[in-house]
Amino acid sequence: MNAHALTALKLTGIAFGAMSLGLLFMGLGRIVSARIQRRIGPPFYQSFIDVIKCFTKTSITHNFVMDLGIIMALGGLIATAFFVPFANFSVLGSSSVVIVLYLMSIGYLGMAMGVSASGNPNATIGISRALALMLGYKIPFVMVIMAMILTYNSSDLLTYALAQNHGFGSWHIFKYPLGFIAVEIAFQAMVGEKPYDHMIAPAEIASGPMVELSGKYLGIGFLLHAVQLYVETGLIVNLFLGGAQTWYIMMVKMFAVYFTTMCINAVMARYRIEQGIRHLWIWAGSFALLQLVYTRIWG
Amino acid sequence: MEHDNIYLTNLRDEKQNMWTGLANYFRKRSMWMLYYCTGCGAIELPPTMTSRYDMERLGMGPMATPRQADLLLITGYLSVKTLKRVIWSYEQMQEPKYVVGFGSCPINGGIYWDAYPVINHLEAFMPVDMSIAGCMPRPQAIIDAFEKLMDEIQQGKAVGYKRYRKHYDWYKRNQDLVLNRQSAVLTPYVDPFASMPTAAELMAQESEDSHV
Amino acid sequence: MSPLFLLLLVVMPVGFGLVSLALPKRLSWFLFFFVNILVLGVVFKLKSSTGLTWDLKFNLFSTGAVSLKLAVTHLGWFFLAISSVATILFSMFSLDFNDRKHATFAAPFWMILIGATNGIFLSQSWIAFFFAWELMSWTSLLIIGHGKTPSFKAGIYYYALSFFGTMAMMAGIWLLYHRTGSWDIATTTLRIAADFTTHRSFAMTVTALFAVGFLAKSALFPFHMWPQMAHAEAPDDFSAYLSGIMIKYGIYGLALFVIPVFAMTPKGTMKIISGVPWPMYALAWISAITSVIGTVMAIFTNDMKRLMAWSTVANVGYIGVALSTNSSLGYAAALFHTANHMIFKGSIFAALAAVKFRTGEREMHKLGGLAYVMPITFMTFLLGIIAAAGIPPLSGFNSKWMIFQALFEKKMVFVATVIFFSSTGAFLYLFRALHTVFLGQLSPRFRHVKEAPMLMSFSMIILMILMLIPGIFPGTVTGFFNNILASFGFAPIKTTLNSMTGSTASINGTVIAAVFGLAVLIVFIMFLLGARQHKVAMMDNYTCGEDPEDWKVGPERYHYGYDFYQPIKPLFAWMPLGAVEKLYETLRRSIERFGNLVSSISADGSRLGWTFVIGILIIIVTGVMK
Repeated sequence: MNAHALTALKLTGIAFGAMSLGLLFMGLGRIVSARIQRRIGPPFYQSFIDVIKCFTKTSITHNFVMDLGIIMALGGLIATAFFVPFANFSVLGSSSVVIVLYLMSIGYLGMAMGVSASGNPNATIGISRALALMLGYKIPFVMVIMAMILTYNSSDLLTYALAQNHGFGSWHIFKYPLGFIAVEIAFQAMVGEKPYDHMIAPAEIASGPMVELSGKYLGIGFLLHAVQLYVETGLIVNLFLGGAQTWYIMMVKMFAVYFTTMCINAVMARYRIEQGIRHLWIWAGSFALLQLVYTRIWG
Repeated sequence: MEHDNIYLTNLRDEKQNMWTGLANYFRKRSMWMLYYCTGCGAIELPPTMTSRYDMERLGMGPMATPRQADLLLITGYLSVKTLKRVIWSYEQMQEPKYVVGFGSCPINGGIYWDAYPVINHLEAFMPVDMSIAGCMPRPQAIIDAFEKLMDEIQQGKAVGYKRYRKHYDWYKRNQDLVLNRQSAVLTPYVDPFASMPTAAELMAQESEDSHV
Repeated sequence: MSPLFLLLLVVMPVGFGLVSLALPKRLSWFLFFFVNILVLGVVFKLKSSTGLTWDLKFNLFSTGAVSLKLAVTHLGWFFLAISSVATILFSMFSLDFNDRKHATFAAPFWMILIGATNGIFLSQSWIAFFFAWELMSWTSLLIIGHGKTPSFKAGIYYYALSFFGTMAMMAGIWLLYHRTGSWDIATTTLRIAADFTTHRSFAMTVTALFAVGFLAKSALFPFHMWPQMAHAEAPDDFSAYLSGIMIKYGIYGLALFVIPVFAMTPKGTMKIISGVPWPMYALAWISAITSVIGTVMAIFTNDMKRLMAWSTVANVGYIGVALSTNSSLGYAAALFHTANHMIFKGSIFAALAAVKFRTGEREMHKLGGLAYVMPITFMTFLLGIIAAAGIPPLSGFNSKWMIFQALFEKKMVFVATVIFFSSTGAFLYLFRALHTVFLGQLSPRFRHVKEAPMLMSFSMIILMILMLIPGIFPGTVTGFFNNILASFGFAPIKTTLNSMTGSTASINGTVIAAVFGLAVLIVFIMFLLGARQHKVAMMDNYTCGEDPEDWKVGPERYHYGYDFYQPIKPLFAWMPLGAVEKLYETLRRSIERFGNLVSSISADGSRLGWTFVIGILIIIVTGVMK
């Protein structure tokens, strides 16, 4: 077997691994929410059942753009997942954080395009909110990443992860405490959990982008969220929580990030759109700016 | 009034093989519902969903739109005006899809049996896979019904959507009779279904081509 | 190679243009396409003849030797090559665009404009440069104001700002000649760089005058107002040229003169901020502000051509930031983004022109759903916005990535943050345009709209390929840069056919594209494995159970397009976005008042005569006084 085919095989494995891990997290997250609300909650494998069921259902499509968009969406996010190091390991060798940030966008663009093509205004309103929110969380996030680029003179995620492998004290969470707070706030918006769930808002705009998704389209939508969780929690673990030497430590850390998110999600209400963005700019933004200024001057 | 005549019993001869059996397992464990709060029954759903009875244990959860949902809940009485919306929503749902009628009203009109704006038999307009008697059914009864529905799905018995597809003309005529009604509503009641083919005829026809 | 080929590049289009003034409209468009083929052929013939020079020296009014020098430089050839490739596609597009119904009389002027463009990129003496520059300004004014009142107003606005810039540049040229006694661009660049140690304020003034000229042409702050008027009102097919190529003259000027001056300035003569001389740092912030203004204005614009004009302003901001880093990486990034922007903004404007050609609408909310009837146009627009948003694996990503690498290298993180803001904001307005024009509900008015005509579609397909290639193989464009960098004394950048190395990482475009392809393949197989899907009508939507027909809601009213980002408008209320416009308005009013004063001297009719008389009197008096 030649090297390219082997790499492709490995990447396919990563793709399904990322989807499974994300789905597992989603199931566990639902249990967490349930326990906070004093419920029992579904079994941890519930999300797998949901997605498989979705693929067995018939579905509707409005036109070719919808199919194209939805495939492009999951494809883009899976491609992003290839670039996120998992437990100090990246098949592709390089994993520039700039690639991750921009490649993730093709997933969002695909999703946005696919659901807009359905012609339902609710979907488009949801997308317009998601894009507006993106303006809110991307800026703080990038400022913190730039602080790291200043320190390491490298934009490789693997470099950051390896630099934190010298015990608990070397974690970036201690080196960039303000940055970590900023990223945690931004992360809440990145995964679209409360108080930043403007995009979905089930009672308001009928679940926004997903309004016209049925059957396998909805299943792909769920997988999209799963891969998104994999990519974004993976990013935070590599950036702040010391990376990981072994795969199970990596998974535990990734889940810890998501666990925090779900806890906040369970007890918060939703902001209005401009409130949400303003909140992100003011709080996450100022923490990130302080971190960046500190690193630029003294770092 | 021989309303019994108009019911179509479930088609129970779906061929089960390994794949449909497996698919049915996933379908029964993940029922997403669209609760159509047509009437009073909606008030029984919050306790069923929240910490007391926790429906999410069974993999059930509310969904925002008919496109995403598997299960349509008709909670309580159904007025003619609402019927149009319900049918519209039901037809937007994707197969396999199930309908559950809550309380007595969707079964036989309940206390609204003689009210002109309320329909009496949901069965005549769309296939109902499960009916929960009571006014209103308590959450225990609702959970019970869902579990029974899950069994039926696993056994391949809850195939109301196939019935709807097969006898679409019949359902469509019933719907049109009510929705496009031309006569004044307060004229003496004439059973609109008297001239319809009876269920027995339809069943006979059904057994001829037993494969759905 | 005969040096006359250089002259041919300038004279041939101008000559054909003048001839075609006498020809019927449609014929002149064919001639236009033909001229572009010839130009492209000559340009690619000149590929390996760098240094080829054509010079004409003559004595004018005994002020000394005036030289009209044309030469092929690495930088000039690169600009010539990308612009002639883009132009031939635009002209192929125009060939079908200017059918009986839509034909404008722009072709002759456009030909002259192409001659002027070639002149700008070939000139090696300031006199030739200035002549070409003026010719370009005049002809573009005539094309923009193509006989329609709003267009003419926009043209005047464009020309007024451009004129201001040109005057500044002319002053700069005279000062430069006065000091150095030479018209030669390369010589004067060296001299002025050396002057920074001895005659600091003089050198600074000259450079600033040139910079103002170039900033005005490239619509950088505070001259960012004209594209939204000129690009929007120009003939639709010309907008692509205007936004793709003409906005780059200023960038070319900066890259030709201003940046090399600062790069060659001896170290220690100027205060260094963040690793660059302070004027460069100021340029970085000017460009960053430009890009933010362009972005925010684009987000809230409803006219599709105006929106893309603002997007062009934002992109020129990125290029300016890249140039201001004053490093080889930044210089290369600016050139790369210039080339990419030429293609992707050209294809975006081409797609919009195709939409306007078929529908006649420019307000976005009146359109919608055109993707289902014009798939090729839609794909062109889609790839265009993917490239414009800087998403891999298309060309825009590579150049944006390079810009960020240049900024990281100089540790200009705050500028980078601002640029990232506009880059994220780009998603907002680009998606808005995509949705409102191409997705959503198709209005019954446009149900029978057809795909763009054959030549238009064909040129759009080629534009798509040209966006993909530099994305997957960045080396196809970056390969030209090391010669250019060397000619200005910059260090070479590390680049191969598939990969580029920046200051903090290296990327491989081919790997990204391959990996993305693999991921899409996986998803596609999953998609096929799922249960069957069936197609439903566009209006078969979730509407809370209501039938839209009952509410007299048709596809047009069901299309979410107007005031798309209304919820976030309050967030930008504090920005003084209209301040510059107000300033110009005040200026305009006072000029008008002055004009009224002058015209009130003449009682009636003979206004012009009086102005002449007063002007001549002033000249005579000053002559006598002297």
